[in-house]
Parts: sequence; C-alpha cells; structure tokens
Amino acid sequence: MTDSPLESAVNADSLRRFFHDVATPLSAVALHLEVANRRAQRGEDPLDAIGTARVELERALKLFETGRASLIGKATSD
Amino acid sequence: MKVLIVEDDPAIRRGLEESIKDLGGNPQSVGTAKDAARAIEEFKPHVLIVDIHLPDGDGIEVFRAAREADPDRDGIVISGQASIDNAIEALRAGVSDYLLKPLRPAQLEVVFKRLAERRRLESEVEALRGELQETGKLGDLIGRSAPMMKVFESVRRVSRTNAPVLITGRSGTGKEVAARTIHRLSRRSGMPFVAFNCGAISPTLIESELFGHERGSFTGADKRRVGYFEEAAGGTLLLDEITEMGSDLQVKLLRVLEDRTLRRVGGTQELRVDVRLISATNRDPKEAIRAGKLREDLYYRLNVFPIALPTLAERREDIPVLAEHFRKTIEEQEGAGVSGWDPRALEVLSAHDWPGNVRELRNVVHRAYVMCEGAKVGPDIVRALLPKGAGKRESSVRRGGKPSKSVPKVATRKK
Repeated sequence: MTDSPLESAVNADSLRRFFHDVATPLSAVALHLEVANRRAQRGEDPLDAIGTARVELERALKLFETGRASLIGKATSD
Repeated sequence: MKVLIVEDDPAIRRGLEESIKDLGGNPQSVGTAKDAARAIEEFKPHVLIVDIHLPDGDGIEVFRAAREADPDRDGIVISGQASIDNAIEALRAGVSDYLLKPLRPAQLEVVFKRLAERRRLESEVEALRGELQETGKLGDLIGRSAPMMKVFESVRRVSRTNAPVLITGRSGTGKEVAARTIHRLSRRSGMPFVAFNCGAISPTLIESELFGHERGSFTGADKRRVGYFEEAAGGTLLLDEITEMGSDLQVKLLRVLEDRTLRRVGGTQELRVDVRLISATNRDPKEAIRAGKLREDLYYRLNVFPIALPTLAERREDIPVLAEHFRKTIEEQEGAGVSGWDPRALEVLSAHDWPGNVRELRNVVHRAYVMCEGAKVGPDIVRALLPKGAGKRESSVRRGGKPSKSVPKVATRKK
C-alpha cells in the first residue's frame, strides 16, 4: 500500500533526522582522524585524537542502531 | 586569520579547532548563538564557521549579524541536511561556502585555504593601495598635491566596483593612465584593458571597430572581425574622446550599455558582453551636450562616477615629483648616468605653465635628459627647452643661487 502524503513527509523527516544524527559524530570521527594523522606526521602523540575518534565512532554506531530500530519500528507498525 | 567556530557538538568543535590550527588559523569556538554574539564582539573573527542548526538559534542569522558588524567577514556554513532553501539563504547572507555533514577534512582544507588566499590577496591589494597613496603613487598616477589626493581617492573607491566612469581633463592630464589604474586595481585586472580613441578613427569605421563585423557585411569585410567590446571581454574598455563618436553610434552604445548585449555589423546574433566601460573626454561634457556632440541620455549612463583630472598648473607642487619619476624611468631605459636634478632646474620646471600638461612635462624631461652632459640636469638646459615667455611665473624664479623655499623638493620615497 502506498503512503499518504502526510505519512511520506513524516518518513522523509525521520530519515533526514536519522541521517543528521549519524552524520554529526561521523564528522567528528573524520576530523579527529585527520588531526591524529597530522600529529603523527609531525611526530606528536596522536593517541588522544584517535581516542576521541573511537568514542565518536561508537556514538555514531549507537545512533545508527537506535535510528534504524526506530525506522524499522515505524515501518512495521504502518 | 581569526576563526570563530559556532557548533553545538563538542567533539566537532574540538576537531574543527584542531584542524583550523593545523591549517594556520587562529580558532576560538562556542556552542550557542548567544555565546557567538559575545565572541564576535570580543574576539572579532575574520571568518565564522557556523552550524546552521544551533540549540538557541539559526547559524545563518548568527553570520548575518556578524557581517552587519563587519562586512569584510567571511563565513562557512555547516549543515547536516542538504537543503536548497538553506543553501540559497546562506549564499544570500554572503557566506563563502556551504559544507555538508559528514564533514570531510580534505574539503574543509580546500575551502579554508581558498578563503585564506583570497583574504590574503585582498589585504595585500588594500595595503598596496594605501602604501601607494602614501608614497604619492597610485598605479601609474603620481602626485602628492591636494587635487591628486582627491583623484587617488576616487580611483581607489571606483576600482572596487563595476560602475561606469567618465574621466574628464585637458589633453595630456593622464586620462588613459587614470583608466589603466582603475583597471589594475580592480577585480578585472587579470583580464584585458582595451583603449579606443574615438577621435582617431574615421566615423564610418568606428562601429565596426567597436562592435566587430561579420564577413561580407560591407565592401572589404572579407572576414569576420571581433570588435573592441569583445576583445575587452571580462575586462575594461576605455572609450577616449567619446564626444567624437557620431550621434547614431551613441544610440547604439547606449543600447549596449543598457542591454549588455551587442550585435556585430551585418550580424543577426545578439552577443552578451561583460565589459567595464570607462569613457574620457577633454571637453566639458555639459558643453558637449549643448553643442550636440554628446547625447544627454548617454552622458547620464556614462557619468555614473565622474573623475575630473586637474591640469598640471593646478597641481604645480607635483612637478618636481613627476620630473624625478620620469627621469628615473628614462635612466632605467637609457642608463646614461643622469642621476638627478639641480634644484634650480626643478624651480624652472615648476614655474612653467605646462599647457600640454603631464605629457608635455614628460617630453621636456626626456629632452633634458638627452641634452644633459653632467650627472645632474641644470637650469640652463631646462630653460632652453621651454618656449620663450611661455611660463607666466618665470620672472619669480631666481636665476642663480640657492633654490627658493616655495618650490617643493623631490621627496624621498618610503620603502
């Protein structure tokens, strides 16, 4: 069965939010990995930046799973 | 370059701060629109990197307010969602770039470096403008007198815009030099500067010279020719002696200026033209209108920004500086070892009325240089080169001894 325009809008909105939620920590991962890379090139300690990247990656995965579950939940309840 | 990062996510904020530091910037970061307002006032950033969605406001509004306080500020907007509306709004607010999350460090680097380079060039040009003005030189315009300072200021201002300029001034006052300087200081400086003297070409040929012609459009047109307008594409076109252009052609020129399109002689296609137009005349434009030599409607279109060049007699104190400039230029070309001026020679030059203005002075300096047999140009050589009795103020100049205090000395240029 096809969605009504309202349902489509709600789904599109949920998808956008899902993408935004995941994209934020992924940005942090990319930035901190780059920082770590530059530090290593300069002979400085990159561990702190790598640690931050790891924390942010875990956050991204968590948000991904939460978002996915929420989207699947929406789809199955429809 | 001071960079204010406005981003509510602390991990991104830290990552951006580190990245900007690595790229040579001086960053500071805040997490809310409210803190941003305070930081803009205290930190006075050159660039803002703002997240479009902030917990207490809109990132574009934060940038807009920052730019209102200082129009030279640049901005990079970060958004988690690709939205055409947001992108348009951001561009309208004057942001330089729009980055989407997830951020890619390489993209940030390109955007940041491009912005830093543009700002560096702009500040270099600005510093150069200021420095040149201070040292009595703006482009090829030279002078320290009050009338020339006014001209420098006008040239400096108008060079930042695309406004049509009408330069008036007697023959030899440097109208083409002023036009070239406007071009050199403008954003079009990397593109062509084309000067066209409407009085030097037969009226029947002006149209084809300016707008070009198609093959076979008239007898002798054996191939297609691109006109001066098209040659100056992206740059500046100087139309000198504009009042010598026939009335019919003035109508066509007006149409080109209004529609920004032209049609070659014998052509059917309308061609878009992007040319900054500077026109010049040695006539009084109002008198030229009364005499039917210049259409009034065209005059208003050309005279958006008028610059009136003074005669050399009206800026007598610039004569020694100009004479020295021309001597140095000639010395660089000829290398005959004429290293300067006897101060009395400069007195004689300063007392002359110079009906031919700067052009006449340049020629006299060149001839004096050629005639000079010592290291310095003396007063006798200069006197011999000037027409007898032409300088009204000649009698006030002492023929020997030390120079009078009334004649300015050639100033030493700052490095």
